[in-house]
Amino acid sequence: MPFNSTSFLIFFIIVYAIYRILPHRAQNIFLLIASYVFYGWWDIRFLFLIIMSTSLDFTSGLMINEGSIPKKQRYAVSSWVVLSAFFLLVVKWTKLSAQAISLKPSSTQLFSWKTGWLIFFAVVLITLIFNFFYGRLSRSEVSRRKRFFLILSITGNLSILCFFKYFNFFLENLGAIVRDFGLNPGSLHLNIFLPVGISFYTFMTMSYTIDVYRGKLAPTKKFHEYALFVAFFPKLLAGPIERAVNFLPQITKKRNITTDHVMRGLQQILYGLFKKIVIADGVAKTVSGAFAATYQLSWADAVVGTVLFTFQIYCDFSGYSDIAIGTANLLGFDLMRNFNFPYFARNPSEFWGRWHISLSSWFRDYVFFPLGGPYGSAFRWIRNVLVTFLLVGLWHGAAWNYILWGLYHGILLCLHRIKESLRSTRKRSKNPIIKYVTILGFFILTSLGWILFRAHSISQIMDILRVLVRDVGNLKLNVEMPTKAALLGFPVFLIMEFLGNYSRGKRMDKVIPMPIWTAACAAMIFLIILGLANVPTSFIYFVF
Amino acid sequence: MKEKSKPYAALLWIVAYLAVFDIAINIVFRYPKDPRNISPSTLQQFFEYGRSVEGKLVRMTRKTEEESAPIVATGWLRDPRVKTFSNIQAGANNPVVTVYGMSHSVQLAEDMAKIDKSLAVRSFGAPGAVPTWSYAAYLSDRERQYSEVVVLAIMTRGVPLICTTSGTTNHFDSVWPYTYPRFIIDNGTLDSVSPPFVSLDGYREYFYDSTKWKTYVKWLREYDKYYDPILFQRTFLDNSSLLRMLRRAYAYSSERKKGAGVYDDQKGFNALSDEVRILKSIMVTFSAEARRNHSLPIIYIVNNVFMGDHLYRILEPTLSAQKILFLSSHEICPPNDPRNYLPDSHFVPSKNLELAKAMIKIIRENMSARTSIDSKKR
Repeated sequence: MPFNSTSFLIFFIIVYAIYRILPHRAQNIFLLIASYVFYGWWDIRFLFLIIMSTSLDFTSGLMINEGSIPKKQRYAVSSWVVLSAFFLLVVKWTKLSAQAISLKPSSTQLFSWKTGWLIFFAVVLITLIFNFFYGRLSRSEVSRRKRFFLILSITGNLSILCFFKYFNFFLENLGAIVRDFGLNPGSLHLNIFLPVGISFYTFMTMSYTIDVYRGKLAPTKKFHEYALFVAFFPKLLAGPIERAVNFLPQITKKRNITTDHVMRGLQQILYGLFKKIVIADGVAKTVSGAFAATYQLSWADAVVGTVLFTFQIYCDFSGYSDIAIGTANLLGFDLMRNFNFPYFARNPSEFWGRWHISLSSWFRDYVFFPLGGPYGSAFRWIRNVLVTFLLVGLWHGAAWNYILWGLYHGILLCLHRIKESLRSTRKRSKNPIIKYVTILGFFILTSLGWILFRAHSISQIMDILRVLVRDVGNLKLNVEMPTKAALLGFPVFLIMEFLGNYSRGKRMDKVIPMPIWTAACAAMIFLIILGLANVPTSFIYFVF
Repeated sequence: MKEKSKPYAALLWIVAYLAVFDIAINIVFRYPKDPRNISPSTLQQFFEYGRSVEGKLVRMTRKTEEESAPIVATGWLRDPRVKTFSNIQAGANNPVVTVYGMSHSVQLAEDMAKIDKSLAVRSFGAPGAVPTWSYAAYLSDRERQYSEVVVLAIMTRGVPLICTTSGTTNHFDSVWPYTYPRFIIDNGTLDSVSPPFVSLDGYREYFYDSTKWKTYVKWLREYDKYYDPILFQRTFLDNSSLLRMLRRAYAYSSERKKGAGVYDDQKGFNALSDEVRILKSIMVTFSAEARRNHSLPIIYIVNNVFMGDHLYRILEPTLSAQKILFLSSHEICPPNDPRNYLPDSHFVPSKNLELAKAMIKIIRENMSARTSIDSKKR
């Protein structure tokens, strides 16, 4: 159920109408049910993974901090996991017409009916074992218990993530190595379907356990509240990767939906829809034309394809985040900011403080600093940066181009750091020309990085880079032009970005007189109406 | 201003601005009233696309042909506008070649006539013609003129539209009033249901008589898969440019939904769909009838830009099994290379010439083979 679909609009209207009349506790339970419906709409069987992950981390959190789980909650979690394993994996959902539309049985071989029974029995067994040993575990030595449950949570979450996301990548590369030794291992590929949003919710749940372990957060004792933190539908599929420290208090406290919430939410949703429908979908055909070309691209094709992809991925992903944040605002929640006008960055350090902030800050807090952070020798610092960015690349997908993209940004960051350390003064030039030239220069570097991200293979990356270098000046444009809505929308988009950046992200209605910002809103609505004729594409970050 | 009343004030401002935009577009990009004006600006056309089908018909149709838009007179099966590209008389050495199809096929015929002056090339075409139109055109034309060679053009984009019956339902942005039968497969044989009118005069008669027009709309509702009252019926909403754009978005979305079971960008055509089954049946029936009529049947497969060779791949097994001659554009103009296509999706002139040469080669080779068989028989 993507945000830019009629089904989501109907879903949200129904959810919102009911939500507004319910008392606080019922609101939370209702939101949890709505979130499961939202996710199950895509493929109900994969809901089991969310429930598994939720149960594992809820239990781990309490066992780390308290060493015990209230009896009622323990039984609730145990029965919830067992029941969900039965209903989600054993019941033949493909027989039900509503689900048959969204299920892709050919792609979910590992979730076949027989495997479903197998997993169900395994879940029953694990639940029984945990309950059997519960007393002994809670009486065990504190530091050992804490470490045990932290490792259990991290390995459990990473195992699920690695299996669904990286198993084939590992198998295929293993096969290639074996083939290099002259052996024929046959086809090493499992028909695994990547559950949408898995990287996002796995990172959210892991941060919870780590924060509890570090003593930064007291674990919640209410399972449904924790389950809502994990599954809250606006952020479930593509983030922001929210932290429990920020989000759990919003669940437990009574929410007061003010006019400000509504205004903020609607503006954010409008801008998100504009970026997605008008710009990202409007240039999608041009970009795929350039990156799927079977002919020799001209220099103009390569430049247009690369630059438009730079805008497409930003508008697509930040558009999604805006709609997620806006939807949460309407429900009375505040999600963390995920983008802060990243193409105005002048260097890689600034860029990563503006691009996918929830992910970059996650890696900073849970990978980069534990590795040693910026402290120690230059070699250590460079190693820490490169390892972190290699993992950032790998987080995006199991393919070499993502790893290369991560390393590319890691190298840029190292070079920037070296350049900064060589400079005698740390003062930035205030000359606007130098400032804009620097922004443009870094924009070009960012765009080159996106070629690594978007290309299908290493050879395609080399081809495009070769055209960019050797074919300079060939202005013959073969790729399809962006849609009229996108062409008309670009000036509005650029103005909005400039205003947003220079008002430091403040809301339009706070810095501009009403007759002017409402004109911008009307222009965006008008362009969205034009853009609705664009072929809708699914959100790029859904596959991560 | 009080915080609580702010959203309402903002809403009023936004609605007022949208109304201003709407009115401004209607004034600045006003569509030419004269239907004979065939060159409105790109933006005038763009903001007009969403007008209802009936609204567009009203705009382009007048009591006489001279007053109406030229496009109104094209594509009618009875009272056809057949183009003849050669000045030569048909004879033993000058076989008549008739090409049935869309604009691509008209261009092919034109180039064939330029290359080979000994061919008496004719073209019977309609804008955006779908395969059913081409086949119906062949059926109606064969009564009027015998052709030694008959070429049926089929285009990738036209296949999902096989269950339409008119230029008013097969292409929403710019409609054409011409009609054609709805083909169905009944007990394994190809059957058809004819629309109430198939000529320009018939159209005018129905269009200017509200009772008759209602019966036609009822017929469309029954037989045309793409008929949709929201897109077809003229309402006051036509006056708003924003609502026209919304209707256009709806038209695109509904067209995508209807075509989803037939064609997919990645997977190609669904062989089990009604449309593909009807298309294959049309090709087989067309070639059998042409052979019975002592004509040489050829299928011209037009693979549209960015649509791969999916059409060729779905048709080739049937064509080979039935020994039907064909020319597929993908061999000369790879569809994933936009350099082979003009911005309006037609082939570039040099590729058109190559395609025409390839078609002439097929005709010449097979005509001489037939002549030698005939002389041996004698």
